Amino acid sequence: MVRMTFFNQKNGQWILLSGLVVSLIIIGLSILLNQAMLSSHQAAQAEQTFPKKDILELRSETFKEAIRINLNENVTNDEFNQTMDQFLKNLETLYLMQGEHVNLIVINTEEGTSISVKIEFSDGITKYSETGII
Amino acid sequence: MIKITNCTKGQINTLEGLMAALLMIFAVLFITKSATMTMPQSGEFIDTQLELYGNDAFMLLDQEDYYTDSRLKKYVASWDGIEANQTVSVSASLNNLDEDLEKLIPDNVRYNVHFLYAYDGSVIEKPVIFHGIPPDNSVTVFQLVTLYDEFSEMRGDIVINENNTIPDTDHDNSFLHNIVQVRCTLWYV
Repeated sequence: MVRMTFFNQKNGQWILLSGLVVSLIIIGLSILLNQAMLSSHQAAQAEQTFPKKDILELRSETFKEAIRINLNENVTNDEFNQTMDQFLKNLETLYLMQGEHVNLIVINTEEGTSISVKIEFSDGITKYSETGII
Repeated sequence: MIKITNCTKGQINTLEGLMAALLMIFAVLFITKSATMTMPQSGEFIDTQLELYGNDAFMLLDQEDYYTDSRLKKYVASWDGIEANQTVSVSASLNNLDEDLEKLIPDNVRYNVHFLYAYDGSVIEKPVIFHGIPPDNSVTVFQLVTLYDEFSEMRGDIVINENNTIPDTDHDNSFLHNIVQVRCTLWYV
C-alpha cells in the first residue's frame, strides 16, 4: 500500500527552487527594463517641456543688441538706457503673451564703458538668470 | 495497483509548474506593458524634428554681426503690410522669405509665418505667409528681430517699407522701432 502525505513529499525540491529563482530573475530584469524605459521617457519629456529656445532667444537677442548699441560711438548713455528700457517693455509684453516673465536690469558703471546687463526669466517652473558684461 | 485519485506522487511538481507559469505570464505582461512606453517618445521625436527644422531655418536667416543686418531683419523691414490669407498666401514683399524657407524646410513639411509685436501694452499678430490651416499636432518656433528707428544712429542699412504696419513703439523717445517675434508654425503633410 502506498501511503504518502503531501508535506512529506521531498522529490523535486531542487526543481521547484530553480523554477522560482528563474522566475524571480525574469521579474527583476523586467523591472530594470521598465525603469530604464520610464527614465528615458521622462528625460525626453523634460527636454521637450524645458523652455530652452525661449531662454536662448531672450539672452542672445538682449546681449547682441546691447553690444551693438554700446559699440556705437554716437550713442550716448541716456540714449542707451532709454533704448534698453523700451527694449525690456516690448520683450516683457511679448513673453507675457506666452505665459513667461522676463526682466532686464542694466547697470552702468560710473567710469569706463562696460555695462552690466542681467536677464531674468521665469515661466513658473523654470527660473533662469544671467549677468553679462558688455 | 494504485488508483489515480489516491496517487500523491508529483503534486509538488504540478504546483511548481503552475507557479512558474503564472510568474512567467506576469513577467511577460509586465514587459509588454513597459514596451508601450516607447509610443509617446516617437511623438516627441516628431515634434523635436519639426522644431529643429524651424529653428535651423531661422538660425541661418538671422545670422548677423555688428556691421551687417540679418536677412530675416531685412525681410521684416521690407514687409509692405499686406496680410496673408487663403487667397493671398504671401505678400510680394516677402516672396524671398518664403522661397528661403521653402529651400530650408523639407518638402513634406508645410509652414505658416506670423509677425507679432507689442504696441501700447498689447500684442498684435499679423499673418504674413499662409500655406494652410495647421493641424493640432503642429509645432511653433520663433525668432526675435529688433528694428531700430529709420533715422536713428542704429538703423544700419535697414530700410523700413513705407507701407509697413509695424509701428514705432515709443514715438521716438528711444532708438527702438519695435521688436518683432517672427513665429513659424510647422506641420507634416
